[in-house]
Amino acid sequence: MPNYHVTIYGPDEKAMADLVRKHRVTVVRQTLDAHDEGYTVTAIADQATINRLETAGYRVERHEDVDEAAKESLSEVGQGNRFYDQPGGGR
Amino acid sequence: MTYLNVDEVETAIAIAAGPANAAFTELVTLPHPTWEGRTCRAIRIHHGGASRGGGVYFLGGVHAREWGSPDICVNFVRLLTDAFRNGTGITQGGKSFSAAQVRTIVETLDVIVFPQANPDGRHYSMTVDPMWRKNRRPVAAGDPACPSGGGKGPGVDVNRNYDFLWDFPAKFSPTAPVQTSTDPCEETYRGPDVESEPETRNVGWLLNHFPRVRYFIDIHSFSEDILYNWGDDDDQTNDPTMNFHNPAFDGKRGILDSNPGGDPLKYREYVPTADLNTLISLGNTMRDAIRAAHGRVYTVKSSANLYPTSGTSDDYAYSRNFLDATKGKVLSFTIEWGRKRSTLPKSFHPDYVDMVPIIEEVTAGLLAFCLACSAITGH
Repeated sequence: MPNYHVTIYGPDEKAMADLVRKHRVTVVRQTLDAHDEGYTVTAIADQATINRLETAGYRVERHEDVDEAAKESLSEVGQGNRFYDQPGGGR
Repeated sequence: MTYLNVDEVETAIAIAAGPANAAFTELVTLPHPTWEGRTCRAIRIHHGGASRGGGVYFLGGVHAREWGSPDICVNFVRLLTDAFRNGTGITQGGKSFSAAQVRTIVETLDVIVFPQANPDGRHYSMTVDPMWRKNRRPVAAGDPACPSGGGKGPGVDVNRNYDFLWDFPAKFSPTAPVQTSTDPCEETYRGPDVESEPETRNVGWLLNHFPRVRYFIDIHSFSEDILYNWGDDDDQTNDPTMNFHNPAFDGKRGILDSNPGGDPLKYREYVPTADLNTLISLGNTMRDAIRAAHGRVYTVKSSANLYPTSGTSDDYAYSRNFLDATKGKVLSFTIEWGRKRSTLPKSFHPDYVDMVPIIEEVTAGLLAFCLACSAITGH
């Protein structure tokens, strides 16, 4: 089942706290933000969790499939060892 | 350019501690091999006799998917060692440090850098699952079968495994939304026991091995925050008995005053006023240097928010002196580098071209932090 980057909207701090203590959602804790109309936090959730949260009254904005999106990052990793030929680098 | 892989981080640190820098560096081999058998190394940078200003300790690579942290540590080490050896200054973006300031850092402080605390996790994140956060503790008999993807799976969150309120179900209020889990499949799994993980024990070993360390920074991503102690609850400066090791407050921690109606249990974590002032001052010093590098404005604040934490490195490092006065007081921070980006994976590990200015700005912050620490006495 795909895992999505989601933004969860809740009306108050109790609702945002319930995400962790009641709904067991994995939030990115430092993304908690207050707005005029309530709060948002970033999290990773599958579709079943999204459905469950929406049933509980949260608004959930679904973004990218994190596993698919993350694959792109693998090309940003060094291959081999760029220091191998330097003094002390092992060659 | 690309992120350094696991082998490259180790090689870069070995080179920095090589013959050219032998007069002022020491390569330190950590005693606990990881679950996959890797040996970790740290570097100590200091020239001259016993350090006058105590030590600073920078930690990177704890959370596997936050790829830039070891790269920041390596950049810091290479620039500092090269500049000291050559008698030059350092420039990172719009922030410069003179050769005299470089000398002050290296001749006043013990600078300890442990760039890659969780190499197993980093390797897995860089080759299989880029969203992987934890270490690679294998599944034990009786553990549940975990789903995969999205960073889920067996393993321990090293930054929930330290000996600070580790037993959070007993220590926190039952209604506190603690961002720690007892579920081995979850990203914030605390581990089967306190300091059960070799990665955790290595981090603590360095604090014991270098007892003059007085300042500690754990480097993470993301959110452009500079967080200081504590992470379990609001800070307070008035009541020394209201603290993490007082069992009278078990079951009362973790509800912040910002809750609607405040904290009905009235618990806050004690921090002496002088420590709090120093924490804020050092945090502001880093913030200003980071801003001078590339204009990004980080926020300096207490680590605690609606979702309190347990078992983290920064609170563990600072807590040790409260439990045992023979251990030095270690004022501690977590830096969360980088801003939120278009996707969650890119927030944790931006394209490398976007990581370069972050490496420079955090390096500038760390250098300014060292200079400020070298000027402080009395801790």
